[in-house]
Amino acid sequence: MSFLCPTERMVLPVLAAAWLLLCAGDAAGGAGGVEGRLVRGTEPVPGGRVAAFASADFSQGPASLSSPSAADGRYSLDLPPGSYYLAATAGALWAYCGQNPVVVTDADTRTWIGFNMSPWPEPVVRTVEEMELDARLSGVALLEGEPQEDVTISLYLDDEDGFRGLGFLRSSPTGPDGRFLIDMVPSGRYFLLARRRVSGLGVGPVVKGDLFAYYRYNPLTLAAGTATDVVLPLVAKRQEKDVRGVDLPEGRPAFEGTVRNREGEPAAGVHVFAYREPTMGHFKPAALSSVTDDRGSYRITLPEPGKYYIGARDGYGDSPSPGERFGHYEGTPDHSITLHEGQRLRSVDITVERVLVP
Amino acid sequence: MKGLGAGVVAVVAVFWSCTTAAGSDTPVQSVIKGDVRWRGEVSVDGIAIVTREGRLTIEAGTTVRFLQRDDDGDGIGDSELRVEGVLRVEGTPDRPVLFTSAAARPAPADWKYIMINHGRDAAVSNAVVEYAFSGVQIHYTRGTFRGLVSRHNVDGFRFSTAPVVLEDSLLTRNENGIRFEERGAGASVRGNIVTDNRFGLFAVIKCEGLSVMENNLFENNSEYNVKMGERQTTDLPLSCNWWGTSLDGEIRASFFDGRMEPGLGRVLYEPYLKERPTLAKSP
Amino acid sequence: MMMKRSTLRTLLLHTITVAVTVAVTVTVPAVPSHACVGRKLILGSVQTGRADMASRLLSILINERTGTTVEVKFFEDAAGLLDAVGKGKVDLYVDHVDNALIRMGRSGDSESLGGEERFKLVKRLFDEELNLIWLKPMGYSGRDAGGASLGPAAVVVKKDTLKKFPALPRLLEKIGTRVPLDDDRLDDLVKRAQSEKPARVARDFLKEVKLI
Repeated sequence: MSFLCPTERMVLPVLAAAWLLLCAGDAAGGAGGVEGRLVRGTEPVPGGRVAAFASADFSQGPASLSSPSAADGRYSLDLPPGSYYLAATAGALWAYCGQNPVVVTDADTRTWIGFNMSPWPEPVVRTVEEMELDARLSGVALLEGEPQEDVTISLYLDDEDGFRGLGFLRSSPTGPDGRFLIDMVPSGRYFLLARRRVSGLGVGPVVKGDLFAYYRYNPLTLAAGTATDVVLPLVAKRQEKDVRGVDLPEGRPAFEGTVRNREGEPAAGVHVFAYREPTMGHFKPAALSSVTDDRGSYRITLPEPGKYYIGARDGYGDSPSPGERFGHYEGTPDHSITLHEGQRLRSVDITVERVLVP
Repeated sequence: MKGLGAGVVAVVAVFWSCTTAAGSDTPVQSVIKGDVRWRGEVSVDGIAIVTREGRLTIEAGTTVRFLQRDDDGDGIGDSELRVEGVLRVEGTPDRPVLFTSAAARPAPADWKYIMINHGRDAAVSNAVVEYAFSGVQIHYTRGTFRGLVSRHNVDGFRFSTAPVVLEDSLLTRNENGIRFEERGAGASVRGNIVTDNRFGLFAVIKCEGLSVMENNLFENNSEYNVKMGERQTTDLPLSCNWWGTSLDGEIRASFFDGRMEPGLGRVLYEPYLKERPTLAKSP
Repeated sequence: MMMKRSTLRTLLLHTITVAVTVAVTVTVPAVPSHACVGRKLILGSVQTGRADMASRLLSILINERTGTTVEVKFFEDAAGLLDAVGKGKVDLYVDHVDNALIRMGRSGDSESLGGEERFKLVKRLFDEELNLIWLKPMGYSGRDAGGASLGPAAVVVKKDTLKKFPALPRLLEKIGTRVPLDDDRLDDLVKRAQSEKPARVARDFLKEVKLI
């Protein structure tokens, strides 16, 4: 599965390799929504359905469901404008769209979303008397059936923040056998995500070359006195997201600009953050850009009008480390910008420097 | 839950710590963008910001008084000096620069702090900082502090991700004499007197033994000379300091570390000074 | 040299961009500020002696061990506290299992359950329906004004708060696991607090049991 599904207009009528499943909009017009193919490896998966959910908590049931995929794996799903979490099911096979949440902007655009299906064994739960009120979670991270090293499994308490940040608990990186163990987990419901980033960083958006898994049976209940073992089939991200991202519905304020180093050169690969609180470090950001492109360009669509405090850095989560690129928006002394309903601000440029590097 | 067992890293969703910005309600801002010198009596009512391009020099004998205000109602004063550019405090032993509360009856946390955050540089000589929440906080910035007296604050001297030099200074009558998080940057802390605080040295988290802290005098700190934070699990090298006694058992009892709380790092205090050294700021 | 503050305010309205010497008695006006004093936790409590003491123990433990500032917000009665909890204005508070089950309308079907099962039930209900997480029982049982038991007491933490402070369970559950705070022990602390400052009593106790 290519789980980053960009917004390029559909050009190729047939994908050279179904595994790539690069996503594109359909120029044909008609009803808004998504369409694409379900495959397992390079083989089409017929009879599968794509479901659209209002949130990443799939236990709430889908808002909409596609008709079964055709013999060549093709499916189509009409959706009104809005934001959706998509997943595809075909018997024991399942896939999560890494582009989630997918935004349908209007009634005329169809976005191409491909799914690479994997088998997802159900969790195996056994009782462990001595653990009293705590639970244990273990498992293995696989890519095409092969154990994967250096994968980190994160447990989130809910899906409200789009699984950004480090999560409530996380495992140490998997070893050569692909296995992980999280012990002494307070009993409760959790969302499991697995990631291996080529950057080696513990946080930040998943980028090309990273491995990723969203657990099929989320939210997973880990009961006190039990040990649960899971299998996490990973997928590889195949394509970078367009730096301009996906336009949210009209009316949302947005800003854009360029990130440069002190010498004035474009700084590629940096995230720009927008916080509602002046004490930026103590809260999660209200919005986050994808990484800047080779020109240092970025763009952020904000959830609502108001005052935002702006900064940029290489990483995400925890404090900036020595050597990391980091900077504030310096256009105002307090590093803030204020946007009205539907306003687009340009030239919100930021200079970054490496922390503690003279 | 008994603990976070093997293979688990408990994490905090902090994006960058102590990155502050001013509020939004008042159109007035005091912003220093060029070279500015302070001398004589200076009062600060709210936030004075030295921007990235700014440079503030404070001359010997200057008194900076921070007016009491508590805009967010948290009981901590909100006047502060914030530095993102360059700070030079040029006190002399005879004519130190005084940063203090403007209150008639001053008390700790009357004002907030001197905050040097993501600044270009800081050099402070012979200054007295008192009645703040933190006398000095410095983050993501190189800085040199010599002849600093920080007293009657909650935190006397607080740093994080900052390769600071703190020498020949006196940290006294604070809650925490020195509070720090290395986070990948080691500091040099030598020849200081850390006395009559509740805690002499508070290693909060992510201190990995990168700092050199020696030839300091830790004594009469009412709770502990050294306290490890709840998630400070790495041992701290703190040899060649005076701990208020030459008795090994008494020295160990003045640490809240892995000897008292399993899982915490330990203070590596040996070899230690067997005699009280005479230091520049000896009271 | 003395200058009128209003004059100085006017002068300083403008950004200082050139070399300036500021001499003698300058008031620097500035914007209202926001704390960068570390993150702060709000601990809600009613004002009874036992709840007051339990809250002091928790707030001091958090502050001393993590450096996080804890503000204890007292409410006149449980209704006021629970209203603030419901509105998300409190990060953590102490609740009682049986009383909580009654409030959740589950007292009937929990009657046949044992103590541990009742705790598991209330923990699950609060997690799924209220986004509140129960930590392990502290050791004592709450009592209403008439002395009737409200069930085992435990710290309840807002789920959003736990995301920011994931180490809280491990820290706070030391009260109850490593150092059981049973009824006799809590009552003794409350009694001592009648003749000494409650904060002093709480701090001395935590030090005595080597939690701080």
